[in-house]
Amino acid sequence: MSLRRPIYALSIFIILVIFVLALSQTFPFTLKSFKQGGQRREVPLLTTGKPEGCLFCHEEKVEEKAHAREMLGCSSCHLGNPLTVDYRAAHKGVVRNPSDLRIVHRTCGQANCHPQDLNKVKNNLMTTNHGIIARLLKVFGEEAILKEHPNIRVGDLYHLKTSSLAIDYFKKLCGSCHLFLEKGRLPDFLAEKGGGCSACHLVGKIADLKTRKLHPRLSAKIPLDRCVLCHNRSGRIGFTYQGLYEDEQSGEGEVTFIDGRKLRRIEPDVHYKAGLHCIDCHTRDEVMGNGTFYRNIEEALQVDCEACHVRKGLTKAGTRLANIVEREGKVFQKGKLDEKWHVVKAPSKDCKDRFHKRLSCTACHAKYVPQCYGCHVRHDPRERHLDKILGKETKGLWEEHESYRRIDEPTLAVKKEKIVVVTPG
Amino acid sequence: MARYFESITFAQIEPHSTQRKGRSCKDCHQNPKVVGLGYGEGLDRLTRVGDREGRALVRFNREGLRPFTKEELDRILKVGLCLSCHGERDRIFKNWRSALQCPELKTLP
Repeated sequence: MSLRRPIYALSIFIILVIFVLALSQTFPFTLKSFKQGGQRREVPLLTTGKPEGCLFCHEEKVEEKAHAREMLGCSSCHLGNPLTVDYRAAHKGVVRNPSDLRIVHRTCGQANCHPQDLNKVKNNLMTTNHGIIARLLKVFGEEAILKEHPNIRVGDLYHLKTSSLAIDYFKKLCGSCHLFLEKGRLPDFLAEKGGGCSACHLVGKIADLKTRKLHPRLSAKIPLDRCVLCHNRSGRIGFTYQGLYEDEQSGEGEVTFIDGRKLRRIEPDVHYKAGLHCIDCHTRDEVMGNGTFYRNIEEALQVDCEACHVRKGLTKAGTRLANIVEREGKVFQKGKLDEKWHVVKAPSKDCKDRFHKRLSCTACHAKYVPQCYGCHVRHDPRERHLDKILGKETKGLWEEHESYRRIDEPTLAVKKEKIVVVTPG
Repeated sequence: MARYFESITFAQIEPHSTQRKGRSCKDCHQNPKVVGLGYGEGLDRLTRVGDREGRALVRFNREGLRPFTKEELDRILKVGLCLSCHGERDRIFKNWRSALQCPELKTLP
């Protein structure tokens, strides 16, 4: 093909004319500027040079660099059409929470941003809840469902039609603690949970958007309370770590948790006292996932006490912890939030004695664990209960009761020749 | 029709209550609750994970998790008896042999 032939040159010219005409229809300010209130205003451009019409009206600031208003504008995350000033057309397809896992491939996970994290987060246990669902199916004697859906995950429960009691129990009592949850759909404090990436990474108040024109920022420095929003039931490690204990039936205590439960103060974990947050020990691969579909939390965990205190920064998985360094024979850990250097103490002489080789560190050093005895659950098919997955009340009420709860010395058991802590769970 | 089923399960846990100082010898060796035999009072049935013969009385959440065997319990609790007279830093514990015989308590195996 040669452009010298007039027929080709003409067709290219016609195509160009059509293209320019079409562009001027959808994007009327491309060529000049936009008139507002009788004043001519320049077309807002992002630092990349991309025009972003949203910024004609939206003045909200984001107090961080990577997702700053000038860098990404609005539409990179919230979608919509930045090339028009028509209100309706501009807001068509806008999403309130860009990190909702149903659409995240078009937002946070798009090619220029975090595409490598999509598969990791989607297979993460906090997204799949596979371990919890599988355990419930076993406890309820409904293994047949597990055989039919061996990789069952929360996402499946949105459309799975089943009369399973275990699944109904999960949807009503456990269904609000996973990343697949649509943020803001459930009432009260549950509205804070879920929402994909933003469940952990969003810092700031939504109310500031209107009052201070301040958009919440995104941070990789996740503070402990974000984690404890979910990790506060069952083994209650989020409470215990901070030195908080929930009494029987949540009746007494000087601290009130966001859901109204009363907590009593106890001696916190030494790592908490040193100022360490959850992410100081737990790695990115653990909390965000590494792409592997794990069956339970034990498989997914890579960090143990020995990773820092014995192996000087080497995880069980053989990866190196970036925040642990060795200098002149001593091991130090850099706090991810406080950015302080903490001394990592070596195990004492007693830890190495020949009679206690089988003991895990926690068998001796974990002084107490919440223990619920006589926990029983009642299902009343006549009453209704909020299904956290469907976001509406359905038939079948689950009521939890417990006879005794103790914060007491842990019971020990043996796991593959290692002595570990166990608790009713 | 009401249905009822029981499934007491014990789960392995890292309690996140780490303290600088570990447990004392007596905390484990003289404590039936810690070795899985329960409080021995009102809560007894609910707090036992195994019996003195090493048989499991509850379910466990992980494969390979089990209560102490009879032999393991014998070894742990024997030390507990010694701790009633001997201090935790006594040299008999440093040079411990399972065949040690107590001159005061001849019936002790």
